[in-house]
Amino acid sequence: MSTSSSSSKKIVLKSADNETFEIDEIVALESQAIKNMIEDECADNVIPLGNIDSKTLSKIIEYCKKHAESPKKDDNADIDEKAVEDLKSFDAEFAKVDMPLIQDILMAANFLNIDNLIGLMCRTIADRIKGKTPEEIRKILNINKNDLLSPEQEAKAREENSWAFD
Amino acid sequence: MNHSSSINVETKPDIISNLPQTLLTHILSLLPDVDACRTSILSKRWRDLRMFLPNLHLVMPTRTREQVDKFYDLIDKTLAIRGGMSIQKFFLYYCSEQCDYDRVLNWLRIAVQCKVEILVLKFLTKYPIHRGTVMFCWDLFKTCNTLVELTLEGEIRLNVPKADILFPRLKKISLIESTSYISYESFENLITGCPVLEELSLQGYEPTDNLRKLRDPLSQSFKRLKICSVTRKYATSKFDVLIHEYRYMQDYCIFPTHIAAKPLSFVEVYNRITTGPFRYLVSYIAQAKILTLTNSSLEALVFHGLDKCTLSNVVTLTIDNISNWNSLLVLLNSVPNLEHITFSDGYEPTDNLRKLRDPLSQSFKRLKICSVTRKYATSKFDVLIHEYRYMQDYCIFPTHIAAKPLSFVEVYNRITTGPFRYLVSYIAQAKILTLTNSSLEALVFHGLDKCTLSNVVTLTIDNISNWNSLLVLLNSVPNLEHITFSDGISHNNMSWNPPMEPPACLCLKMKEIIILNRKTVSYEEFAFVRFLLKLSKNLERLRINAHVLDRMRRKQLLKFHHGLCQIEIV
Repeated sequence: MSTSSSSSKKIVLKSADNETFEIDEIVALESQAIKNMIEDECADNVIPLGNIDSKTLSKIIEYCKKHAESPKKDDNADIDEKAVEDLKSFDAEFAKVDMPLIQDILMAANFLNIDNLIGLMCRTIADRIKGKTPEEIRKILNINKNDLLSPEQEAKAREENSWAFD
Repeated sequence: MNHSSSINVETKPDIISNLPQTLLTHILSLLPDVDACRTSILSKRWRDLRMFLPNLHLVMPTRTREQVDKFYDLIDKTLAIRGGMSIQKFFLYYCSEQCDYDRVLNWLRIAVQCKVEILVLKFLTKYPIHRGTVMFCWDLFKTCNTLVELTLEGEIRLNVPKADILFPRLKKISLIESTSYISYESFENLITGCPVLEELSLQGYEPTDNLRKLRDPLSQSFKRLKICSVTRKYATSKFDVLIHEYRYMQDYCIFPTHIAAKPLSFVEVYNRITTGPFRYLVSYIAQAKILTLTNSSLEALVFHGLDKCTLSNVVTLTIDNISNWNSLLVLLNSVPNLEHITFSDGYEPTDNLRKLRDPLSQSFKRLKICSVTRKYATSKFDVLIHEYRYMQDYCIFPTHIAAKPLSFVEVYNRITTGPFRYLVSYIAQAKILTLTNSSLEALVFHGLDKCTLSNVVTLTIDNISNWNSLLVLLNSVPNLEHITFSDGISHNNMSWNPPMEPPACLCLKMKEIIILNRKTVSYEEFAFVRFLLKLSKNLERLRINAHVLDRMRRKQLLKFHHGLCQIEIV
């Protein structure tokens, strides 16, 4: 299929800390943003990603590799089920990282426009704050203390949503 | 881990709050409504995010007039800010105190404009005088092509007007504790007004005889009627009449998963009913392909003449347990095309079950009996599975049965007692045969040497306590191509003496030998392997897994290499 022809073509990504990653074009195409760049022919051999550090980028490449490898939905239904299971367990393992990295990945995935990865990271964050108190959530998400509501504002917000706090 | 993340709290910037709003609302939309709502006090950034969620979950406060006014203003404001942004689910919990119905109506109008898909209205009142005073705005939805699910809960008056179409795309209606005021006409109007309705769910509902008339208006697309929490009083009288008339049956809940065409017929029937007009019941069950019964509903069916019926559509049957063998026999006699039975609630076979052999149809493919106790496994159960012409260890899974006479493609046999003269003849049909050492010994004892299992191509055996038994087995399988020793070859050091006349399968057919050993290859095993290699002219592959294998033996093994054979030592 298409893998054989495009696997020969390589794309180089450069992280904010100047580390370079050479990947197959098919892997890079998981990113809608890079795909657009390549299609518009404004991608040089090296694509600089000035706002993504190498740790985050290598995680994202790991994700894209796995997702580029696995058969797409419209393929044979038999293979599909097994591949979907496989991908699910990969995703579950992939998301087992600390919250700062998850947020970095989400930020970067949003920049690179990788839909599935955005969804996975949002789900992971939602799972981690589900059922927690506001105080716990602030800690988990590391919400800026300077940005908190004033006591009056908080009282008002609580009143508006009193059913959720009772 | 904890330590490092607490450092991060101090040093890392607040990434999350700097994410674009679409990402934050994406996260919120994945939370339960109550959690999403509580995030409004996290920080300034999060304060009004929930206004932009696809789900609007609105709960009217009940304390003071002032609070209620603020609530109304907030919702008005929210809907205004959102503009045309689509609303997936609109949930409103409101009550009679200080309710401004015109404003609520206006919200619903906006929700329809914003392509609402799911609408949940929950209206409660403390005052009996207000009961049934809230009207529902039926006209609003006549052209709404997005609404698929509607729930009306509480004291909402359901005076449904007559109209050709009320909800053009509605698939599911749930009426919860709101049906006490519904007249038969309203019910009929509601159902006829939903041309693609698939599911009607009624909770806290006491069916009346009036509902019997509803059968006809149900649309072709209708798939499911659920009636929950009907009191037992009704369950035993009017309800049975009702479900009969609906041609749906189940215990307080009705789940035909699919209805083919007029006349209504079931693909799946889940029946826990034990009283009612059974002469109809049986005729409806006859339509089902998948039938689930409880012991008591089976007894009821038998009592009402199941023995005179043929349920020719039933392919899959699940039953919890049996109190009376005759009832099971009657049931099995009535299902000529049965392919699968599951006993879902543990099953202790008794000698009675032996009588079951005959009623089982030719098409029968699989019997699964779960959680049989070991006590039975070694005596009655073996008899049972023999009588069934199926065999396996505590569970019965012939993967495929070709044709008359019953035959197996795969047999997994760990049986060591029982009427083996039959057993051998059934095994003969198998292509894939799995044996334990003890079941092999039992087979040999019962005359395996006089048999030819000509279908067997693949054989798996755990280990051998007696070389002669293995030779008997190998002599009986002339067409064997693959053999796996799943637990070494032999655990006792019996000396191996090559037979005068080697088994035919080795010389002519054998293609693959796999030996999964636990530790090393003993001298005797080694001698046996050498014998196998020497004779098997057509061998393509030999694989030996051994944890410890000394170099000398390894070398010697590799020396046997001949022809096309590939030797792997892992």
